Amino acid sequence: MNAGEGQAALSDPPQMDWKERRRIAANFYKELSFQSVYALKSGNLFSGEKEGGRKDKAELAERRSFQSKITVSVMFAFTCASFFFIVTEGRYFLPTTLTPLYFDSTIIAMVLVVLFSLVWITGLQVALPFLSSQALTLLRALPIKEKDIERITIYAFIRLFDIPLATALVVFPITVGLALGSWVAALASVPAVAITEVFSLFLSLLTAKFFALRVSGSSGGSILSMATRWMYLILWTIPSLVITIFIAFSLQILGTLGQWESSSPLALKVLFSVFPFPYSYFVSALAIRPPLSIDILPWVVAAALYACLAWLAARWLVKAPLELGRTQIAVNFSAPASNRFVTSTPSVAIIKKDLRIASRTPAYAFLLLLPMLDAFILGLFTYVGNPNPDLADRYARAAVTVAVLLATFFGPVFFVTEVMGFSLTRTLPITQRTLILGKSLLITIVYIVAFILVAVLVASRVHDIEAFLFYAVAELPAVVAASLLEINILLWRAEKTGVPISSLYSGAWWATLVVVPGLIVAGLPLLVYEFLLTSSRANSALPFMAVVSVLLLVSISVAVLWKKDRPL
Amino acid sequence: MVDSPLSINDLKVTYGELVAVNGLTLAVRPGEVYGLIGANGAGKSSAIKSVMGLTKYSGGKVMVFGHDPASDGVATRSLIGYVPEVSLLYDALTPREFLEYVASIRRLDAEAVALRLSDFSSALQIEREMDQAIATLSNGTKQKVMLVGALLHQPPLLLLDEPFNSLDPRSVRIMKDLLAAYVSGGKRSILFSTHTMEVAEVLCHRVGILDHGHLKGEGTMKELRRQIGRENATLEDVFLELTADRAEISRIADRLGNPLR
Repeated sequence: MNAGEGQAALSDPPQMDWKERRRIAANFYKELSFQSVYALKSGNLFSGEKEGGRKDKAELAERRSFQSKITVSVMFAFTCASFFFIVTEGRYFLPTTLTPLYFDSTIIAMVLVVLFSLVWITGLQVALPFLSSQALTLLRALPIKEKDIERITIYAFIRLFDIPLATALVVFPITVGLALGSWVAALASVPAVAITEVFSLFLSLLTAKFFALRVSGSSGGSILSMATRWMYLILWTIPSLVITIFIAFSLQILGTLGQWESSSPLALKVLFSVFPFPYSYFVSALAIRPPLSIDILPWVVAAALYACLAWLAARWLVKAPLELGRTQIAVNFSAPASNRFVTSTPSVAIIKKDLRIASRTPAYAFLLLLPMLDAFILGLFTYVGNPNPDLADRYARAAVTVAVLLATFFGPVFFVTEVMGFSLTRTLPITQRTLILGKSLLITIVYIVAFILVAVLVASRVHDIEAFLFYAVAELPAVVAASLLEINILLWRAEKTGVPISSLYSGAWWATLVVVPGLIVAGLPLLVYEFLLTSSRANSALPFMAVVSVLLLVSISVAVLWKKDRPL
Repeated sequence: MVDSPLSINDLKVTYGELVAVNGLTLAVRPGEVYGLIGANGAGKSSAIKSVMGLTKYSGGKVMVFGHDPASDGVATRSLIGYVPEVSLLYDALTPREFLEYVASIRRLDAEAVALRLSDFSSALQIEREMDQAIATLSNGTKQKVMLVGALLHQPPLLLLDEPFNSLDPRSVRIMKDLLAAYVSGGKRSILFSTHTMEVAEVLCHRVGILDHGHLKGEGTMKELRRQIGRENATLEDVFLELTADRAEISRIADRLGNPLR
C-alpha cells in the first residue's frame, strides 16, 4: 500500500458490522460501569494495598452494576405487579362507581404513569454518570465512522438499564394477563409499556441535557443565581411527585372519575385521550370486550398519534446519547460578585458545601426536596374533602411520617456527594465525627423543614395542634439517630473499600441494605405510638414515643460517635 | 530537638502484586525543597499519597513533624498542604466555594485568607474564574485552584505531586518564584515530585531519584554529579546514568526509527 492509499484508509474507516459494534459497546459499557462505581473521573482515588488488579476492579464494577440493575428491576416488577392486586382485590373495597372497563383502564394508566416516572428518575440517575464518564471522548478519538459511534453509544447506554426496562416489558403484561384473565389484553399491554418507556427515556435525556446546558455550569456567587438553580432543580422532582400524587390521591382520582362517568362523560372522554389512557382503555377493552362504538374513535386517533410521537422520540433517542456525550457544560462568565470570603465551623461547612453541590446536581437536589414536597402534598389531604378533625389529625401525622421515612430512606444519598471529594476530604484535617455530624445534621434539617411546612399547612385543620407538634418533635431524636447510624455504616464501608457510593443507581444494592436499619430506628417510635394509641394506654402514647426516640438517639450516638476522632 | 518536617523509612507500597514503592527512605529538612524525580510509574505519587494517608502502605514508617499520619492523621494533615497529581475538586462548586470549604475545615480566619486569596488569584490570573463551576475550568486553572487551596493555611510542609503539569509558562515561573520564597525563611519545606528535570534542577536543594520503587540516588546536584563521576553533568544526565542503560535507550530509539538518532 502506498502513502496515498494509507491516507485514504485513515480518512475513510470501514463500516463496522453489528458484531464489532456490540464488541466495542461491551467495552464502552465496562468503562461506564467502572466510572459509575469508582468515579475516578470525578476525583476518587484507589487507595488500598489489598486491592486487586485493575481487571478485578473492572469485573467487580460490572458485578455491582448488575446488582444495581437487579435491585431497580425488583422495584419495577413490584410496581407492575401492584396492578394485579389492585385490580383483583381493590375493585371490591375501593370507593368508586367506575364501571369495570373504566376502573381497569384507570388502574392500568396509573401504573403506567408510575412506571413512566420511575424510568424517568432512573434515566436521570444513569445519564449524569454517562455524561461525566468521558468515555465517549476516547471513542471519538478512534477512526470510527460517526454512524458506528452512534450505534455503539446507544447500545452501551441502553445496557446501563436494560434489565429494568425488560423487566417492566415482561412483568406488566403477565400481571395484566393474570388479573384480567385475557392473554390478548396482556399482549396489547406490551406496546403500551414500550411507548411509556420510550417517552420517559426521551424525557430523561432531554432533562439531562438541559441540566448540562443550564444548571451544571452556572456561576456561583449571588443568592439569586443559587435560587434560580434551585427553581430549575424543582423540575427534577416532578416525576417523584407524580408518583406520590398518584399513590396518595388514588382514592380521590377514582372517586372523581366515577362521578365523571355518570355526570360528565365528555370530561372523561377528554381525559382518556391523554397518554397513557387510550392504551390502557384498549388493553382493558380487549379483556372485557364492550360493544364497538364510534365513541372510541378519538382514542384510536390519539393512540395512533402517540405511537407516531413515540416513533419520533425513539429516532431521536438513537442519536441522543451521542449528543448528550458531546454536550459541553455551558460557561457563563460573570464578573466576581465581590471578594467576599465566608468561613464557618467544619460541620456547617459540610452542610453548606452539600447544599451548594445539590444546587448544581439535580439527582441529589431532588432527593433533598422530595421529603419536603411529598410531606407537603400529604398535608394537603387535611383540606381534601373537608375531613373531620380526627381524620385530619391522622393525615397530618401521615405527612410527618412520610417526611421521616423519606429523609431516612434517602440518607445514603446524602453521602453520595463525598465521592466527588472523598479523596480530597481525606487530605484535610477532618475527623470522622465531624463528617458524620455534618451529614446527619443535613438529614435532620430536611426533616425539620418538611415538618415546619406541614405544621404551617395543617395548623388550622388538626384537632390538637399541640399534640401534633409534640408528635413531630418527639420523632426528631429518632430521625437523628437513624441518620447517624446510616452515615456511620456508609462511612465504614467507604473506609473499608476506599470507594463511597457514587450514585443512587450504581450503589442501589448497598443503599438498600443501609436503609433497612435506618428505617427500623426511625420507624420504631412511630410504631410504639400507633400501638399504644390503639391500646388502653392511649394517653401515654406520646410520652412513650418520645422516651423511645431519645433512648435510640443516646444509645446510637454513643455507639457511632465514640472514638471517632480519627481522620477519614 | 526539632522534629524533621518529613521522614520516610523503608516505605513499601503494593497494589496487589505490583510493588510500587520498595524500601524508600528519605528525609526532608527544614527550609528545603526536596525533589522526587522518576519516570512514569516510578512510585513518586504512591510515596506522596502514603504520606497523605490516601494510600495504605504495607511496610515502613512515615513521620511528619514527629506525628505518625497513620495514628495521628488529623494533626498531620493540618501541617501539610497537598496538591495531587489529578484533580481532587468538587466539580459542582466554584473555586471560591471550594476554598471557603477548605478554609472552614482548616478553621482559618476569613479576613486573613481573603487577603491571601486575592493575592494568589491575581498572581495566577484566576480572578475571572473564581465564581465559575469547577467543572467548566481548564485543567491548568483547576491545578491553580488546588495550589491556592494547598497554600491557604501556609503549611510548614507542602507536598506537591507534579504541580506544574498543566500550568502555562507564566504560571510556572510565578510558582517557581513563589515556592523558592516560601522556604526562604528556613522554617517551611517542600517535597515535590516531577519528571521535568529543568524545574527540579533550578528549584530543588536536594533531589531523590526514584526508579521502579527504589531510591537510586539522593543529594544536592554537586553530590549527585560526584556520584556518577561527571562534574558538568545535568540532572538529566545523572537521572539517565542512575536509572537506565544509555545503550538500551539508543537501541529503543533505533527501533522506533527516531530521525534524531
